[in-house]
Amino acid sequence: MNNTTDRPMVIQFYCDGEPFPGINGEPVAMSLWRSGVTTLGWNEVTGDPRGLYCAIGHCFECRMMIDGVRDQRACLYPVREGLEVFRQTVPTGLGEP
Amino acid sequence: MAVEVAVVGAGPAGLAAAGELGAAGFRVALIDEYPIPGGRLLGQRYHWKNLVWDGKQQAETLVDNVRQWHEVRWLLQRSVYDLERAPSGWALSLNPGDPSVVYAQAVVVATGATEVPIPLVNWTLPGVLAVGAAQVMTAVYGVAPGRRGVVVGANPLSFAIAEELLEAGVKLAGIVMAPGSENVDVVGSLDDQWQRIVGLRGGGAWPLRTLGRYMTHAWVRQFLMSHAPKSGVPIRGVRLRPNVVATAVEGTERVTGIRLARIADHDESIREGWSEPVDFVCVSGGLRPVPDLFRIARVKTAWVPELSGEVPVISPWGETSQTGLFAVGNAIGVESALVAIAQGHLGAHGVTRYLRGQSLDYRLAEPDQHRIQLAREQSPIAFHPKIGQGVEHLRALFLESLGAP
Amino acid sequence: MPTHNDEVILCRCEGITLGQVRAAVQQLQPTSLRELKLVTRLGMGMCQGRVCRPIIQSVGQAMFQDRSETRLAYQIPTRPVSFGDFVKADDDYE
Repeated sequence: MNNTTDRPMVIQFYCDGEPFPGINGEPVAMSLWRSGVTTLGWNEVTGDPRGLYCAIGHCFECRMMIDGVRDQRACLYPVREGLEVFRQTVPTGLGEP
Repeated sequence: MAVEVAVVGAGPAGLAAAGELGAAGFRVALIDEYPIPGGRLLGQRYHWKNLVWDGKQQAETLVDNVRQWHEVRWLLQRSVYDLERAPSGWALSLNPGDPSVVYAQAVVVATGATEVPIPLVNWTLPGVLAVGAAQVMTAVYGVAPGRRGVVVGANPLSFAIAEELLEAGVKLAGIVMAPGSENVDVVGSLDDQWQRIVGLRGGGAWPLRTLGRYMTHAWVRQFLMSHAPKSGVPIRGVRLRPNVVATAVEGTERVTGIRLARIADHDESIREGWSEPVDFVCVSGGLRPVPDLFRIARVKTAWVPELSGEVPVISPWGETSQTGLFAVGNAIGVESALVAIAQGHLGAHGVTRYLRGQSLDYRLAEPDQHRIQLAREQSPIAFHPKIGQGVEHLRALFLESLGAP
Repeated sequence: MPTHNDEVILCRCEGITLGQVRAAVQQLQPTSLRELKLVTRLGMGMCQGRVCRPIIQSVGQAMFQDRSETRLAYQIPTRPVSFGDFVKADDDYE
């Protein structure tokens, strides 16, 4: 059901191609926040940076491309070894992933 | 997938219901969009009458109880996006699929509550969080939301979570008031907010408690609140700043500060403004029940302020105006987890009677209703001082609906 | 109470500000909250109003004296669903 065991297992995953540490099974957004990544994407209409807001799957502000699928909620999605996540609607100038 | 009962939501109410339904031998699907069962319980850790309310522990007990029943199927990380009548009862559409549709003879909706936002200038900046998010980060995952934050909006939820944050070693600039205007007024005027603070229960060292009965007079309340020091008054370690209002979040890529203003006492106009450095901001307009699935299923609902919002009109067994569709937990009114658990048990007993073709005479629900009332009286937090009136109002609406054609 | 600045965002998903709502009310003269939603896309983004519903209701009360807090419609899907999943669910439906 959930892969978290009593001893937290540190894994490595990738955000926009860069490696980050995470604890296996915790939501992607938590691992990223711990590493100081608070901007999880940019709003499609306004272009401004967005991040974690409700943390329980209601607001969709933390939507990212995860496992090749767009608009996955990073506050719910469990991180695992080798997982690839991408921030969406990257402003020009910051470089497309 | 076909089951006898689908339970939507694996928080305290849904887990309690699934446990009872499992014990009764039913084939149950327990659905939740979060990867871990427990719902809002997961982050709760409150000190209360020399005891500690450990929500995580409570959740584990409820989960273990459900796990012993192998006829309960866990469907985590799945959202229910549609609920409609099917020949055999109800059809629930799930995303992601597998199964994409669950057919159930009866449904227990335990979708809980969601947070009411406080709009602020710049509140979309990363680092602005619903107060419950800060709780989930700190208590469930051990991730600090920041080094020093501020809470905008004073209510039972924000007080409880502010205490938790302080205990986790996170510094707070205090709890400040929410702004409002003629066009956008989510939590009411300053005096509306003060009235709610005065009605707070569960704060042992609440210094205003002794003044409580005088505070029912608007002018006393306004005098005391507006003459509090700008740095606020400590309430169980949390600084409440009753005459300071947040006007904007500062920062470009993420939160770097909060713009605050002192409110003049007589007309609630801004007296002076200044900035304080913070690296996160929690906004909190309180909780409201989630009515989405009730509305989709065309259940009769009502607006009951004492229950914090729009709730389904339900029978004393928890059945909505749609047969076979039951509602429990915060989805029928924002209350503590103890009440939600008792409601989960009642709903499960109602469903059991419904599926077995037994009488749903409301007098038979009295023992379970009594347990809910006891839980209400024992709860560390009351989310509205007049919950009892809300419950009575809802019951009156139900009785009224019996007479309707 | 301090007046909200026109730049305050009311609907996070669609990035709609109080100023945009005021302008829409002035120029297009919607007569109800529902009409205002249709002309501004207020509350019609990714979260389907899950976050901003109370804000929109307060705007409705202030601008249209619309006190029917409970009558804003709810639409399926209550959560975003990819078109593929939607079709698949329909196939699975007996």
